[in-house]
Amino acid sequence: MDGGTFPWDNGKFPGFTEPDPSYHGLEIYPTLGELSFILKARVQMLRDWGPALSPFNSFLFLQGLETLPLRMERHSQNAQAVAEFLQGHPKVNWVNYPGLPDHPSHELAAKYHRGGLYGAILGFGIEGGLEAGKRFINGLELHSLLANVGDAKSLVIHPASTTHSQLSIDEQKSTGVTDDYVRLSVGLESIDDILYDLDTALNGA
Amino acid sequence: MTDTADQKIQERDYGFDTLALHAGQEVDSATTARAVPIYQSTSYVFHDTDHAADLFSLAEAGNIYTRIMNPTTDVFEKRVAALEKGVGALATASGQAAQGLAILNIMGAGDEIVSAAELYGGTYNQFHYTLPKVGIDVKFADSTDLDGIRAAITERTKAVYAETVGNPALNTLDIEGLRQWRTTPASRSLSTTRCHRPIWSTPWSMGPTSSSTLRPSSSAGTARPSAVS
Repeated sequence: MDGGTFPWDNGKFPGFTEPDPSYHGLEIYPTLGELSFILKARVQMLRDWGPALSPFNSFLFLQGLETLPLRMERHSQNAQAVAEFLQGHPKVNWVNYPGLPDHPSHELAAKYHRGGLYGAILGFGIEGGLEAGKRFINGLELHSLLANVGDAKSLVIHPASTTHSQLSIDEQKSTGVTDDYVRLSVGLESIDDILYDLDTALNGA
Repeated sequence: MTDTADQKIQERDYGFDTLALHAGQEVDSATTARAVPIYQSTSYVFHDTDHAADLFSLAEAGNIYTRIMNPTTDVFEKRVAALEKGVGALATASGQAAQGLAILNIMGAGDEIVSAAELYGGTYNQFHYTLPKVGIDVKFADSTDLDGIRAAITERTKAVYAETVGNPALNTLDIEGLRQWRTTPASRSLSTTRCHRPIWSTPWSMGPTSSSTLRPSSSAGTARPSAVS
């Protein structure tokens, strides 16, 4: 995706201004203008490296896009409810969700995110750290333990031992990962069922 | 969507929800199918040898091979571009591929990237371990400290990279602050989004910015692709 406003002829990007012998000397930026970044990526990078999206998956993405605005509203409503619920839970030390007024990015998030919606993803610190986090995750019934975010179903993961495990402790800290950090991707289930699952697992942790 | 409808979209400036349903599609004239047809074809028949030569030399736009262009993917790319108010989009098989292509598209051995430290782990691996093997060095800086990012930029820096919402720190990037001094180092700013659907914010809607949201092929990796944007 490109905004089309970058001046590729500023002297630092010869690939955009020098003739491309694989296209009979075509000069990308003088010829293609604002479309240069995308078209260059298409006719050179996709041509040569080849990671094309399959047409069937394009169709599935289009299907998903059709209802995306509706789903994002519910994701955000449910995540806000989960954030507020966790804030008042005795087993929770801190909650990281941009929709909370005291979040460091709350103002920027309100500025940049459509419709005052703050998304599905939130993090929280569980009382008892890593071991309590493991007990909590293993005690969940409705939430799926997996590495992704943004599914219609509610997801959970412990970043320090999985998605960010290749990083050193210092590197983990620099990306915002701590031992007690539990990440949720709040789904579209009935909010009462989501909260019940979280509450039950927290109380058993 | 017909050509006329496409023009109406430009004239009326349809809302986000409308674009999510209609943008980029022209109803297939042969079948008038309402859904976007799945063109599961690797290749496309040329009218004649001149047509073939023109397509290969880019003298004329058209389908050659699905690796480069596909009619179903074309609708998806146009729809996403309309939603994000970009001039164009390119779909890839994964977000990692989108990043890799965007980077190799604008730089090579000897060049540098200054990247936010708050990154998805897979991005970190690509930047920290793999890019240096092809001669591209990545310096990491705290994206909440714009002065720190600026200080890390050198003559060889070709891009500043950040996630619009850091994963998992959930810090929101100060896109406008980044843009305000972007022209000085003359480097490209690239942004990506994993914690939010990319189309939920439009980095270049704040003015003449150079931001490029690497749409991770619509955050492709969910268990069920239709569940994501």
